[in-house]
Amino acid sequence: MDIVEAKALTKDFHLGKTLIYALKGVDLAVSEREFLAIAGPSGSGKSTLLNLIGCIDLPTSGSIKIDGIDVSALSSDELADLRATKIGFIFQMFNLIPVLSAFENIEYPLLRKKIKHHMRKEKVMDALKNVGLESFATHKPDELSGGQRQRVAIARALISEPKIILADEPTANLDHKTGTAVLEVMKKINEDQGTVFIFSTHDPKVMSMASRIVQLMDGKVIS
Amino acid sequence: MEIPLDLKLAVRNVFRNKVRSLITLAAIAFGCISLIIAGGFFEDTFLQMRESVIHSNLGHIQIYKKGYIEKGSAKPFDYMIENPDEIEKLISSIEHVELITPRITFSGLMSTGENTVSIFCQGINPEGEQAISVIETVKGATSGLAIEAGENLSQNDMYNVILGRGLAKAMGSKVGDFIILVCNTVGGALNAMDMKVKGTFFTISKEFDDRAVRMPIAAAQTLLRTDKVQTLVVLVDKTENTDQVKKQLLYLVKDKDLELKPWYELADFYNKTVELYGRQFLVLKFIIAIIVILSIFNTINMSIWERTREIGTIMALGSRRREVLKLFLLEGLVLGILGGLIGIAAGTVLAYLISLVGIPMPPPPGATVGWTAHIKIVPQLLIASFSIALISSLVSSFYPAFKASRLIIADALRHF
Repeated sequence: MDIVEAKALTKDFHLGKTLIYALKGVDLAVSEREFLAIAGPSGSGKSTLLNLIGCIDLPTSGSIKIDGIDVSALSSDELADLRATKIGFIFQMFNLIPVLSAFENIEYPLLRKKIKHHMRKEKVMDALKNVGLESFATHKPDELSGGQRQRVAIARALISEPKIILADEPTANLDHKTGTAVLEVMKKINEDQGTVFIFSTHDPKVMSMASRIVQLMDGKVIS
Repeated sequence: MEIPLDLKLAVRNVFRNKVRSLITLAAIAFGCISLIIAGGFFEDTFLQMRESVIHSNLGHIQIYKKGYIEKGSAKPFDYMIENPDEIEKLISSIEHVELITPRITFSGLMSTGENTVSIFCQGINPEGEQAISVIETVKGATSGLAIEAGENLSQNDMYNVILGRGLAKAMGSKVGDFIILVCNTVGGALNAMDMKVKGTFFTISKEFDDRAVRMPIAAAQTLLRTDKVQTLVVLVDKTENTDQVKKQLLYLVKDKDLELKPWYELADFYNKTVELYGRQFLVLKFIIAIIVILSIFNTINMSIWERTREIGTIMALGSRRREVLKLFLLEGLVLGILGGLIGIAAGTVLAYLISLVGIPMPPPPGATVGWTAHIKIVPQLLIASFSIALISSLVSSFYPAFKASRLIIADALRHF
C-alpha cells in the first residue's frame, strides 16, 4: 500500500485580486521506505504540495490519503492527531521554539502522549544521540549552529516515530558541507528505520541522494 | 514535581521580550496599587468618620420609650423613660457593653441679654459622655467631642453649660459668661435658668456645633420639671460588636415597652457618604480593569504577531487549536499573577509607608475639623485587586489567543 496517495490535487490562492493556481492537478503516490525529492524552480508548487501532504493546508480539489486515511473527512482536531502520530516536519528555517532548549524542543511533541516521565527523558536523549548532539541538550537554539539546529529539528520530527517526514528545502539555509551532513543523517534514518522522507529542493547534489525525484513545473508533475 | 512544559513555555515566553513584559507588569501592578491605596484610603476615611460620628454624639445604640422614634420629634416629653436606673442595671451585664448613660434632648432659647437664638439642648451625665467621646480604635483620632476653650462639664457641676463653638462664636459668649436658657417644661409652662459657660466644644458635625448646648442632666431635669430621661445611650467596646449587643438588648427589653436604634440607623450623613464613595470606587475599579485589559491585550497581541510562525510550527507538530489557545491564555495568566503579586506587595508597602506619615485632610463637608488620613490595609481589598488583575488578564488574552488558534497553519508558517 502507498503511504501517500494524492489524486488530482489542485490548489488556488488569492493574491490580492489575482487568483494563482499553485497546483493544477497533481497525482502522486509514495510507497514505503522512499527517500523522495520534489524538485522544481521556485513557484512550481513544491511547498504547496508538501503542505497538502502534511495536512497543514487544504486542497481546493482532489484527495489525499495518508496511510490509507482520507484526510478530507477529518476535523481540525483529528488532523492535528494525524500529524502528531504519522507526520514529522523539518523546516527550511528550522523553526525551533527559541525559549526551549534542544532537549525540550525534541521533547515537545511527546508531551501530548501518555509516556512516563523517565521513558520520555530516555527517548529524547536517544534522539539527541542519534543526531550527534547529546552534549548540547541544554543549549537554546540561538546557542547552536545552523547545522546543529537542523539536526535538533530532525530529532524533533523523528521523536514521535512518524511514518513520513516532510522537509521543505531542509538544506537551503545551510552551507554545502553542513547540508550534505544533515542529508546524510536523514538518509541513514531512512535506511535504518524505514521512515519515508519527502523533501523539496532545487539543489542537484541533494537530488542525487534521493531514491526518486518528482519534477514539478507550474503546478504540474512533469516527470 | 515536574513543572509542565506548557507552563515553562508560558513563563519563558513572557520574559522573552523583557521590556515589553515589564511595562505590562508595571501597568497591572500600578492598577493593583491604585486600588489598594484608594480603597485603603476610603476604608480609613469611613472608619474615622464612623468612629467620630459614634463618639461625638450618637453612641452605639440608643434606647427610647416605645413610640419615640415615630412620634418623639413632635411630642418629645410624651415618651420618657421612667425607670432609667432599673434598665441600666438590667443591661449593664450584657457582654461588650461598656456603659449606659442617660440623656434628655430638648429645644429652647438661649439669651445673652443682647441676643437670643434657638438652641438644641442636651442634658447629660458628664462622666458617661466623656467616656463616650473617647476614640480608641482609630489611629490618630482622640476625641469625638473636644473642648476648645475652658473645661468640660464634670460630675459636680449643676448650673454650668458647655457651648458648641459655632454657637459660642455667634453669640459672642466666652468662658465665664452667664447665659439664660428658656424652654417649655414637660407640663407646657415656660421656665428659665441662669447658667454659666464653662467651656466650648467641637465635634465632627458643624451643624451640631452651631446649635448645641450641653448641661448636666440634673439641671436639665430641674429646668424641664421632670425626673425622667429621654434616651439611654449605650457604648459598646468595639463598633463591630454593635449588632451582637443589639440582639441581646432586644431580648432583654422586649417586655419593657422600649425601642432602640443602632448608630448606623441614626448616622444618615455617614451612610450617604459611604454610598457615594463606594460608587466612586466602583468606577475606579472599572477604569483600572480597562487599563489592565488594554495593556495585556496589546502585549499578547503583539507577541502573537511576532510568533505567528512558531504557532504554525507547534500546530504542525500536532498541537490542537485548543492547546494553542491554552498556551496563550496561560501567558496572560502568568502576566496577571505576577503583576497582581507585585501590585499587592508594592501596594501594601506603600500603604504602610503613607500611613507612617499620614495625609493631612481638610474638614469634610459639614464638619469643622480636618483629620489625618491613613491607608488601611484591608485583606478583602488585596484579594479583590488580585482577582481583578487575574480576571482582566484572562479576559484580555482570550481574543488574541483565540485568533492565534484559528490560524491556517501553512499561512502561519510562511509568516516572517
